Amino acid sequence: MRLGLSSAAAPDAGLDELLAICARRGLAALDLCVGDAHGVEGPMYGLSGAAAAERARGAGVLVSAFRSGGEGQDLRAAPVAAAAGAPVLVGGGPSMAARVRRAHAVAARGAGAAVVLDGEVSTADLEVALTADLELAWDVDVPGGSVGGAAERIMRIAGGRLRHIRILGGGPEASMQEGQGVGELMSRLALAGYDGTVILAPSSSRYRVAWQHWLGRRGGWGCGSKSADPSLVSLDGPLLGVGGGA
Amino acid sequence: MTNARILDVRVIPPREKHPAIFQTFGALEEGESFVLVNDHDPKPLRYQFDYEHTGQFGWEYLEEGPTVWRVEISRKGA
Repeated sequence: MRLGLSSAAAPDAGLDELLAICARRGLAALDLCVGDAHGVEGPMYGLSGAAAAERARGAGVLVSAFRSGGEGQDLRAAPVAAAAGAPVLVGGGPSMAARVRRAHAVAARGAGAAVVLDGEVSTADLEVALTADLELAWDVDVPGGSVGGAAERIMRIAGGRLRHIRILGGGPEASMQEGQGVGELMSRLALAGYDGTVILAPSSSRYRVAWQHWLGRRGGWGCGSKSADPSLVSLDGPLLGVGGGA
Repeated sequence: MTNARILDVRVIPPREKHPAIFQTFGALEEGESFVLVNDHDPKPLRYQFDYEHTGQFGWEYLEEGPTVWRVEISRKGA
Protein backbone atom coordinates (compact mmCIF):
# COMPACT_ATOMS: atom_id res chain seq x y z
CA MET A 1 0.00 0.00 0.00
CA ARG A 2 1.41 3.37 -1.00
CA LEU A 3 0.02 6.50 0.62
CA GLY A 4 0.03 9.59 -1.58
CA LEU A 5 -1.34 13.03 -2.28
CA SER A 6 -3.78 14.41 -4.83
CA SER A 7 -2.80 17.60 -6.59
CA ALA A 8 -6.36 18.71 -5.72
CA ALA A 9 -5.03 19.37 -2.23
CA ALA A 10 -2.86 22.15 -3.64
CA PRO A 11 -4.20 22.84 -7.13
CA ASP A 12 -2.02 25.94 -7.57
CA ALA A 13 1.24 24.12 -6.72
CA GLY A 14 3.84 23.16 -9.29
CA LEU A 15 5.35 19.67 -9.44
CA ASP A 16 8.41 20.59 -7.37
CA GLU A 17 6.29 22.01 -4.57
CA LEU A 18 4.08 18.91 -4.59
CA LEU A 19 7.21 16.75 -4.30
CA ALA A 20 8.45 18.90 -1.40
CA ILE A 21 5.09 18.45 0.34
CA CYS A 22 5.32 14.68 -0.15
CA ALA A 23 8.77 14.70 1.44
CA ARG A 24 7.49 16.70 4.42
CA ARG A 25 4.53 14.38 4.97
CA GLY A 26 6.25 11.10 4.13
CA LEU A 27 3.96 10.50 1.14
CA ALA A 28 5.16 8.29 -1.69
CA ALA A 29 2.71 8.86 -4.57
CA LEU A 30 1.23 11.74 -6.53
CA ASP A 31 -2.14 11.66 -8.24
CA LEU A 32 -2.19 14.55 -10.73
CA CYS A 33 -5.51 16.08 -11.75
CA VAL A 34 -5.65 17.34 -15.32
CA GLY A 35 -5.99 21.12 -15.23
CA ASP A 36 -4.18 21.71 -11.93
CA ALA A 37 -1.03 23.85 -11.96
CA HIS A 38 1.50 20.99 -11.61
CA GLY A 39 2.75 21.79 -15.11
CA VAL A 40 2.84 18.21 -16.35
CA GLU A 41 1.21 18.91 -19.69
CA GLY A 42 3.50 17.35 -22.28
CA PRO A 43 6.56 18.69 -24.10
CA MET A 44 4.63 21.28 -26.12
CA TYR A 45 3.17 23.09 -23.12
CA GLY A 46 5.10 22.17 -19.98
CA LEU A 47 6.91 19.32 -18.33
CA SER A 48 6.70 16.03 -20.25
CA GLY A 49 5.25 12.97 -18.57
CA ALA A 50 8.59 11.17 -18.75
CA ALA A 51 10.50 14.11 -17.25
CA ALA A 52 7.93 14.48 -14.47
CA ALA A 53 8.07 10.78 -13.63
CA GLU A 54 11.87 10.91 -13.56
CA ARG A 55 11.92 13.99 -11.33
CA ALA A 56 9.41 12.39 -8.97
CA ARG A 57 11.38 9.14 -8.84
CA GLY A 58 14.44 11.13 -7.82
CA ALA A 59 12.42 12.40 -4.87
CA GLY A 60 11.22 8.91 -3.94
CA VAL A 61 7.71 9.56 -5.22
CA LEU A 62 5.67 7.66 -7.80
CA VAL A 63 3.49 9.60 -10.24
CA SER A 64 0.72 7.10 -9.74
CA ALA A 65 -2.03 8.45 -12.02
CA PHE A 66 -3.48 11.28 -14.05
CA ARG A 67 -7.06 12.03 -13.20
CA SER A 68 -9.50 13.06 -15.91
CA GLY A 69 -12.93 14.45 -15.21
CA GLY A 70 -14.24 14.52 -18.76
CA GLU A 71 -13.76 13.42 -22.35
CA GLY A 72 -11.73 16.50 -23.32
CA GLN A 73 -9.32 15.86 -20.46
CA ASP A 74 -8.92 12.20 -21.46
CA LEU A 75 -7.33 13.22 -24.74
CA ARG A 76 -4.97 15.67 -23.03
CA ALA A 77 -3.97 13.18 -20.36
CA ALA A 78 -3.44 10.05 -22.47
CA PRO A 79 -0.09 10.88 -24.13
CA VAL A 80 1.33 12.50 -20.99
CA ALA A 81 0.28 9.56 -18.84
CA ALA A 82 1.67 7.07 -21.35
CA ALA A 83 5.03 8.85 -21.25
CA ALA A 84 4.96 8.86 -17.44
CA GLY A 85 4.05 5.18 -17.26
CA ALA A 86 0.96 6.02 -15.20
CA PRO A 87 -2.69 5.31 -15.98
CA VAL A 88 -5.44 7.81 -16.68
CA LEU A 89 -8.24 7.52 -14.13
CA VAL A 90 -11.45 8.15 -16.04
CA GLY A 91 -14.18 9.80 -13.99
CA GLY A 92 -17.06 12.22 -14.49
CA GLY A 93 -19.48 12.07 -17.38
CA PRO A 94 -23.12 11.02 -17.59
CA SER A 95 -22.90 7.28 -16.91
CA MET A 96 -20.65 4.35 -16.04
CA ALA A 97 -21.09 2.98 -19.56
CA ALA A 98 -19.73 6.25 -20.92
CA ARG A 99 -16.73 6.01 -18.60
CA VAL A 100 -16.01 2.49 -19.82
CA ARG A 101 -16.15 3.71 -23.43
CA ARG A 102 -13.82 6.62 -22.63
CA ALA A 103 -11.40 4.37 -20.74
CA HIS A 104 -11.16 2.10 -23.78
CA ALA A 105 -10.45 5.15 -25.94
CA VAL A 106 -7.61 6.13 -23.60
CA ALA A 107 -6.19 2.60 -23.70
CA ALA A 108 -6.38 2.68 -27.50
CA ARG A 109 -4.05 5.69 -27.39
CA GLY A 110 -1.39 3.65 -25.63
CA ALA A 111 -1.97 4.76 -22.04
CA GLY A 112 -3.04 2.72 -19.09
CA ALA A 113 -6.62 3.42 -18.04
CA ALA A 114 -8.77 2.82 -14.99
CA VAL A 115 -12.49 3.40 -14.47
CA VAL A 116 -13.41 5.52 -11.45
CA LEU A 117 -16.07 4.30 -9.01
CA ASP A 118 -17.79 7.06 -7.04
CA GLY A 119 -18.46 6.74 -3.30
CA GLU A 120 -21.11 4.14 -2.59
CA VAL A 121 -21.27 3.05 -6.23
CA SER A 122 -24.18 0.74 -6.97
CA THR A 123 -23.47 -2.91 -7.60
CA ALA A 124 -25.01 -2.53 -11.07
CA ASP A 125 -22.58 0.27 -11.95
CA LEU A 126 -19.71 -1.72 -10.46
CA GLU A 127 -20.55 -4.63 -12.72
CA VAL A 128 -20.65 -2.30 -15.73
CA ALA A 129 -17.20 -0.99 -14.75
CA LEU A 130 -15.88 -4.55 -14.55
CA THR A 131 -16.87 -5.15 -18.17
CA ALA A 132 -14.10 -2.75 -19.18
CA ASP A 133 -11.53 -5.41 -18.23
CA LEU A 134 -9.35 -2.57 -16.93
CA GLU A 135 -8.12 -1.44 -13.52
CA LEU A 136 -10.58 0.23 -11.17
CA ALA A 137 -10.21 3.35 -9.05
CA TRP A 138 -12.45 4.08 -6.08
CA ASP A 139 -13.20 7.56 -4.72
CA VAL A 140 -14.05 7.01 -1.08
CA ASP A 141 -16.43 9.79 -0.09
CA VAL A 142 -15.96 9.80 3.66
CA PRO A 143 -18.35 12.64 4.57
CA GLY A 144 -20.92 11.20 2.16
CA GLY A 145 -21.64 7.92 3.92
CA SER A 146 -20.46 4.87 5.80
CA VAL A 147 -17.20 3.70 4.30
CA GLY A 148 -16.92 0.35 6.04
CA GLY A 149 -19.95 -1.33 4.47
CA ALA A 150 -19.15 -0.03 1.00
CA ALA A 151 -15.55 -1.21 1.35
CA GLU A 152 -16.54 -4.80 2.05
CA ARG A 153 -18.86 -4.94 -0.98
CA ILE A 154 -16.61 -3.09 -3.43
CA MET A 155 -13.45 -4.98 -2.47
CA ARG A 156 -15.30 -8.32 -2.70
CA ILE A 157 -16.67 -7.60 -6.19
CA ALA A 158 -13.73 -5.66 -7.62
CA GLY A 159 -11.03 -7.97 -6.21
CA GLY A 160 -7.55 -7.38 -7.59
CA ARG A 161 -8.84 -4.92 -10.20
CA LEU A 162 -9.04 -2.24 -7.53
CA ARG A 163 -5.68 -0.48 -7.74
CA HIS A 164 -6.32 3.18 -6.95
CA ILE A 165 -8.16 4.50 -3.90
CA ARG A 166 -8.68 8.20 -3.23
CA ILE A 167 -9.93 9.26 0.18
CA LEU A 168 -12.00 12.42 -0.10
CA GLY A 169 -11.67 13.81 3.38
CA GLY A 170 -8.22 12.56 4.38
CA GLY A 171 -5.32 14.63 5.68
CA PRO A 172 -6.43 17.40 8.04
CA GLU A 173 -10.06 16.32 7.71
CA ALA A 174 -9.36 12.88 9.20
CA SER A 175 -10.03 14.06 12.74
CA MET A 176 -13.58 14.99 11.67
CA GLN A 177 -14.29 11.58 10.14
CA GLU A 178 -14.40 9.42 13.27
CA GLY A 179 -16.87 6.58 13.12
CA GLN A 180 -17.20 6.75 9.34
CA GLY A 181 -15.29 3.53 8.75
CA VAL A 182 -11.91 4.72 7.45
CA GLY A 183 -10.20 2.53 10.04
CA GLU A 184 -12.22 -0.48 8.90
CA LEU A 185 -11.33 0.29 5.28
CA MET A 186 -7.62 0.44 6.06
CA SER A 187 -7.79 -2.79 8.06
CA ARG A 188 -9.54 -4.55 5.17
CA LEU A 189 -6.92 -3.26 2.71
CA ALA A 190 -4.08 -4.45 4.94
CA LEU A 191 -5.60 -7.89 5.44
CA ALA A 192 -6.22 -8.23 1.70
CA GLY A 193 -2.57 -7.38 1.00
CA TYR A 194 -3.65 -4.39 -1.10
CA ASP A 195 -0.55 -2.93 -2.72
CA GLY A 196 -2.14 -0.15 -4.78
CA THR A 197 -2.28 3.51 -3.86
CA VAL A 198 -4.29 5.34 -1.21
CA ILE A 199 -4.46 9.01 -2.12
CA LEU A 200 -5.39 11.81 0.27
CA ALA A 201 -7.61 14.56 -1.16
CA PRO A 202 -9.93 17.27 0.14
CA SER A 203 -13.63 16.54 0.29
CA SER A 204 -14.49 20.16 -0.40
CA SER A 205 -12.88 23.52 -1.06
CA ARG A 206 -14.32 24.58 2.32
CA TYR A 207 -11.27 23.00 3.94
CA ARG A 208 -8.74 24.85 1.80
CA VAL A 209 -7.18 26.75 4.71
CA ALA A 210 -6.86 23.60 6.83
CA TRP A 211 -5.20 21.80 3.94
CA GLN A 212 -2.82 24.69 3.27
CA HIS A 213 -1.74 24.56 6.88
CA TRP A 214 -1.47 20.75 6.95
CA LEU A 215 0.65 20.80 3.80
CA GLY A 216 2.97 23.35 5.36
CA ARG A 217 2.13 26.06 2.86
CA ARG A 218 1.12 28.75 5.36
CA GLY A 219 2.59 30.12 8.58
CA GLY A 220 -0.72 30.89 10.25
CA TRP A 221 -4.46 30.96 9.78
CA GLY A 222 -4.72 34.43 8.26
CA CYS A 223 -6.34 35.94 11.34
CA GLY A 224 -3.29 37.92 12.40
CA SER A 225 -2.66 35.77 15.46
CA LYS A 226 0.83 34.75 14.37
CA SER A 227 2.22 38.30 14.67
CA ALA A 228 -0.09 39.51 17.42
CA ASP A 229 1.50 41.41 20.31
CA PRO A 230 0.56 39.61 23.56
CA SER A 231 1.37 42.73 25.59
CA LEU A 232 -1.79 44.35 24.25
CA VAL A 233 -3.94 41.95 26.28
CA SER A 234 -3.44 41.55 30.00
CA LEU A 235 -5.09 38.81 32.00
CA ASP A 236 -3.54 39.92 35.29
CA GLY A 237 -5.78 42.89 36.10
CA PRO A 238 -9.17 42.84 37.83
CA LEU A 239 -12.13 41.73 35.76
CA LEU A 240 -14.53 44.64 35.46
CA GLY A 241 -18.27 44.20 35.40
CA VAL A 242 -18.19 40.55 36.32
CA GLY A 243 -19.93 39.42 39.46
CA GLY A 244 -20.33 42.98 40.61
CA GLY A 245 -23.69 42.33 42.23
CA ALA A 246 -26.09 45.05 43.28
CA MET B 1 -3.14 -7.67 -4.87
CA THR B 2 -0.07 -9.26 -3.27
CA ASN B 3 0.60 -10.52 0.22
CA ALA B 4 2.35 -7.31 1.27
CA ARG B 5 0.32 -6.37 4.32
CA ILE B 6 0.74 -2.73 5.16
CA LEU B 7 -1.52 -0.80 7.50
CA ASP B 8 -0.93 2.91 7.07
CA VAL B 9 -2.73 4.54 9.97
CA ARG B 10 -1.79 8.10 9.08
CA VAL B 11 -5.07 8.42 7.23
CA ILE B 12 -7.21 6.95 10.02
CA PRO B 13 -9.03 9.23 12.49
CA PRO B 14 -7.28 9.07 15.89
CA ARG B 15 -10.03 7.26 17.77
CA GLU B 16 -10.15 4.50 15.13
CA LYS B 17 -6.41 3.88 14.89
CA HIS B 18 -5.89 1.41 17.72
CA PRO B 19 -9.10 -0.57 16.97
CA ALA B 20 -7.99 -0.88 13.33
CA ILE B 21 -4.53 -2.06 14.38
CA PHE B 22 -5.87 -4.64 16.83
CA GLN B 23 -8.47 -5.80 14.29
CA THR B 24 -5.66 -6.38 11.79
CA PHE B 25 -3.51 -8.13 14.40
CA GLY B 26 -6.48 -10.26 15.46
CA ALA B 27 -6.90 -11.57 11.92
CA LEU B 28 -3.29 -12.76 11.68
CA GLU B 29 -2.43 -16.43 11.77
CA GLU B 30 0.52 -17.60 13.82
CA GLY B 31 3.76 -16.50 12.09
CA GLU B 32 2.08 -13.85 9.97
CA SER B 33 2.81 -10.16 10.23
CA PHE B 34 1.88 -6.74 8.94
CA VAL B 35 3.78 -3.49 8.64
CA LEU B 36 2.34 -0.58 10.58
CA VAL B 37 3.07 2.87 9.10
CA ASN B 38 2.66 5.92 11.30
CA ASP B 39 3.77 9.55 11.49
CA HIS B 40 5.16 9.25 15.01
CA ASP B 41 6.82 6.59 17.13
CA PRO B 42 3.95 4.26 18.16
CA LYS B 43 5.35 3.64 21.66
CA PRO B 44 1.97 3.91 23.42
CA LEU B 45 0.68 1.21 21.09
CA ARG B 46 3.61 -0.99 22.09
CA TYR B 47 2.62 -0.59 25.74
CA GLN B 48 -0.96 -1.53 24.88
CA PHE B 49 0.28 -4.65 23.04
CA ASP B 50 2.47 -5.53 26.01
CA TYR B 51 -0.55 -5.33 28.29
CA GLU B 52 -3.18 -6.99 26.11
CA HIS B 53 -1.09 -9.50 24.15
CA THR B 54 1.81 -10.28 26.44
CA GLY B 55 4.24 -12.65 24.75
CA GLN B 56 2.01 -13.08 21.69
CA PHE B 57 3.50 -10.52 19.34
CA GLY B 58 6.76 -9.49 17.70
CA TRP B 59 7.72 -5.85 17.26
CA GLU B 60 10.49 -4.77 14.92
CA TYR B 61 11.23 -1.24 13.80
CA LEU B 62 11.91 -1.07 10.05
CA GLU B 63 12.13 2.72 9.91
CA GLU B 64 12.33 5.22 12.78
CA GLY B 65 11.43 8.67 11.56
CA PRO B 66 11.87 11.49 11.33
CA THR B 67 8.79 11.63 9.08
CA VAL B 68 7.61 8.05 8.94
CA TRP B 69 7.81 5.13 11.35
CA ARG B 70 7.39 1.55 10.10
CA VAL B 71 7.04 -1.34 12.51
CA GLU B 72 6.61 -4.98 11.58
CA ILE B 73 4.14 -6.52 14.03
CA SER B 74 3.90 -10.29 13.97
CA ARG B 75 1.82 -12.91 15.78
CA LYS B 76 3.82 -15.45 17.75
CA GLY B 77 2.71 -18.91 18.72
CA ALA B 78 0.78 -19.35 21.94
